[in-house]
Amino acid sequence: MKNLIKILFKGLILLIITCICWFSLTPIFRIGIKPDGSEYRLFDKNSLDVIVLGSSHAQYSFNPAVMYQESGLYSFVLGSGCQPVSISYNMLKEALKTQKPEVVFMDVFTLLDDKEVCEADELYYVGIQQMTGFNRLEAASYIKNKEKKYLYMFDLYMNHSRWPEIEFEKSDDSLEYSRFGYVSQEPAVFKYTPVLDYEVTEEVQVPENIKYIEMIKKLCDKEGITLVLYKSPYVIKQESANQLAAVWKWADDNGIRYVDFFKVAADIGFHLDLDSDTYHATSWGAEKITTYLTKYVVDNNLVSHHQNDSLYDESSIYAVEQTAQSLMNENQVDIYQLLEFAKIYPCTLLVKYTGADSTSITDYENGLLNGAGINFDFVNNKEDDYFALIENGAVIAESNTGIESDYNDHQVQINNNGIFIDSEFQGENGKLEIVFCDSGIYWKNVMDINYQSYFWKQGYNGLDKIE
Amino acid sequence: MNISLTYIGFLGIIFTFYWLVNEKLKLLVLLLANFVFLAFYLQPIHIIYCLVVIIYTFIMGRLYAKKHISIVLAIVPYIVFLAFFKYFGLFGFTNIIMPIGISFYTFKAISYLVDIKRKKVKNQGLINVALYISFFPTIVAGPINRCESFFKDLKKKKIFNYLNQKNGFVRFMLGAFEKIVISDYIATIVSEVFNNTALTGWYLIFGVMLYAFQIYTDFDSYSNMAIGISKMLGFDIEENFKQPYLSKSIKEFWGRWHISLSSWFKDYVYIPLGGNRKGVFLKYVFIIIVFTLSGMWHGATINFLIWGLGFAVVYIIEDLVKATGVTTKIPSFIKIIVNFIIVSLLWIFFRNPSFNDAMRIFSNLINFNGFNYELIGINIREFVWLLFLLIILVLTDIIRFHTSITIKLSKCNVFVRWIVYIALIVIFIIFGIYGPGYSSQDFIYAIF
Repeated sequence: MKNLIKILFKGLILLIITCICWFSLTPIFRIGIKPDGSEYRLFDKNSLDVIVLGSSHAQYSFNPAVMYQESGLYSFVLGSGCQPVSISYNMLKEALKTQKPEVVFMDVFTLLDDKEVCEADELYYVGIQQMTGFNRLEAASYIKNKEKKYLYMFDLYMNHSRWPEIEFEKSDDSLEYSRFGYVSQEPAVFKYTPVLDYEVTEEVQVPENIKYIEMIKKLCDKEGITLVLYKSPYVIKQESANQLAAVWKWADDNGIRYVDFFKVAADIGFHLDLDSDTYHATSWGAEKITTYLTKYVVDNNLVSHHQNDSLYDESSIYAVEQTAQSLMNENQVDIYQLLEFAKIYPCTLLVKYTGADSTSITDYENGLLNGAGINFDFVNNKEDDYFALIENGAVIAESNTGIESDYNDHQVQINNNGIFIDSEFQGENGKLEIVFCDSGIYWKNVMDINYQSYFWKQGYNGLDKIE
Repeated sequence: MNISLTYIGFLGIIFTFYWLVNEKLKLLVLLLANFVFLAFYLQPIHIIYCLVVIIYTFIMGRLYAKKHISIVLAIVPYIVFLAFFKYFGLFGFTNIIMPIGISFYTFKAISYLVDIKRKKVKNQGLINVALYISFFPTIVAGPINRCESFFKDLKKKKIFNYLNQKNGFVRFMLGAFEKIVISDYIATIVSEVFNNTALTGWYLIFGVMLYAFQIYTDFDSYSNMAIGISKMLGFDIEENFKQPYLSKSIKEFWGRWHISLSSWFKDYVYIPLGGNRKGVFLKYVFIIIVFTLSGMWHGATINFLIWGLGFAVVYIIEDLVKATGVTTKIPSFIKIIVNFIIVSLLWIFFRNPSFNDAMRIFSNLINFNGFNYELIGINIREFVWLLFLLIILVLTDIIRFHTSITIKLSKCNVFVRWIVYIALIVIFIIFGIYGPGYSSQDFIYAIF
């Protein structure tokens, strides 16, 4: 008996030591594994103001760079493809280990039956890779495949083989090209297809996995976080529309805020095709949704303890530039939009204006041009020529006769013969010509406007909205 | 077959029940464990075949003890069926799968009958015969433990002894470590070398040398685990390896390599044929017969035959040279190196099933063109780790040549001992060949 106890005791000690070794080594072998969306750990503690949870619908519909440019708030999307609501709960728990946001937005797509198009066991894996400790064990327990479940619970089992190539030195380049969890897609179909508001044909029960929203709500309440549910517009099926209505009713009953973008799509000018494909928002649609949500946060004073984080500021440069490019590149032909974006996002304007006695430029449009940094009165001085180079709203060079400038390693010439970049003629030499580009002129959007017959094109190819 | 969590769990359950039940039930638990093990790793038809072998051996034992049947007649069916399963491929039966462990338990069954004849053991009851033949720690890849000592252990009262449990467990764990950390790692690099037909010269020499270590550690690890498990069940199984690569001659090598097989051939083939009692010429003929049979026991290819004959030829040459007294002046370490080179070269036939492949490797061995470890698919870390493993292997073999590592370890103070255990655990966790990043290798000898 004494021998047995001795053996059991030593066996137990050995088992405990093995477990300690295992769990101590586990984080070491995660070094260098950078699952999408886990970079937020690098930011200062409690520096994020807003966290966005959800599936790819959240990843595509919320662009933190937009929120940052419009309000200075720090946000991050903790989403993954078809991310189950349970994983969103664990994502939030994980984030709360280092962050204490004041607002949590959550896209509710995976509460709806439409999620069946992408539902699979593998969906848990991406999110779980971001988790640590008991939270990881809890998240991995949702995996149905037993082998995979234990693999993700005790991930050293699959990671230990990385020893030959693992880089133990800490790498700081994780945020260099970060979009803060946002996934961008360019519009592919240039059509203004209205978002149809859904009708409820049948009252249905809230989905069973709403319990995880309850858990998220409890967590938010405990931490003093405002939870706001939302649903970005997509081509919704009737069953899911009924469920969505049930979810909103449930949210109302439980005092949870929500934004139904099916209802506000018309107000914010959100269109299917141009702003969203069947499921996901395009970069243009994301700008509209994020702008709305940013305004929602600001108008409702939901963030009161913003703290500056130089790392977030530095790493936002790339995200903002990418956003500017996607919103203002050559696909964008709506000059009104371009001038609005030019006020908010970093961009360079090369302006050539040939004066004439007749013009369609109104005070409103003149205001837009001035708002983008063009320092010229197009209404009262319409007969004068004007040439300018403007960077981020500041005039770099302007003249009534012409400009020749070395601009960031590019030769820029603007005169009555047209706009030339490195001696290359831009556009069609219209009466008013504006080149929108970035400071390195990696991308550019040349706008030729015959202001004498009509002021601006509107929308894609200009005329369909007018017609 | 490889080491899995299922197997570890199986062992845990068996040990618990085995040591909880009373003496009589222990044997039943062990028998049950044997058949659960068989059911897990063998196909139903192979389990039935194993049962037939057990029942046949039991009946033949009874008949033979009463002198109702000649020993040759009793043994012939074993040989016929073993040959059928091993060589069916040569006769076009491509859809038949050889039962795992058949070579091992067939030899055990034969030795049981012969030992009855030699009055080393008495004929046993069905349960004892079943326990001996299907003894799960050794059934897959040996050692081919002898019935005399097995039945003695079976008779002994099983007392839960702390030292036996501890030493058995440590032996098992070291075996598992040897397999998962050393052997399987070497195996991945060996595969890289031999699968890349463009590699010649130093690469092949390196690969051949590594294979020698792979097969040694693979087989030795299984034997260590089998001996360790047996010890924990109260059975002392004969050692199967005694640092074979430190041998100074082929004769010594076969006294240290797969000892249970070589001693089986010696006791049940070589000596019955006449051994060295019938003159030098016949002695060499018997040696050729034994090594030829040993080659055939391993498989039905011309390469195994060449491998066996190769050893016979070197054995005979060595014997002739030794008689001249020339070898006495050669330093031991040179003899060890030369012996290792000869054995390693013969392993080329063992590893490659095709004669042409083996010949290609031989012809490419002297085609030197530098050495860059990256060409065998490893980086500097892996290369350093590999060299470290080889050095540790050689050093531990040298230590084991003089003393038992488990005994040496048990004599260290508790602090040192546990430091060693923790180091081994950490190395096992990091460098072990397990998980999705690796493909763990089956035991090489499990296919024989």
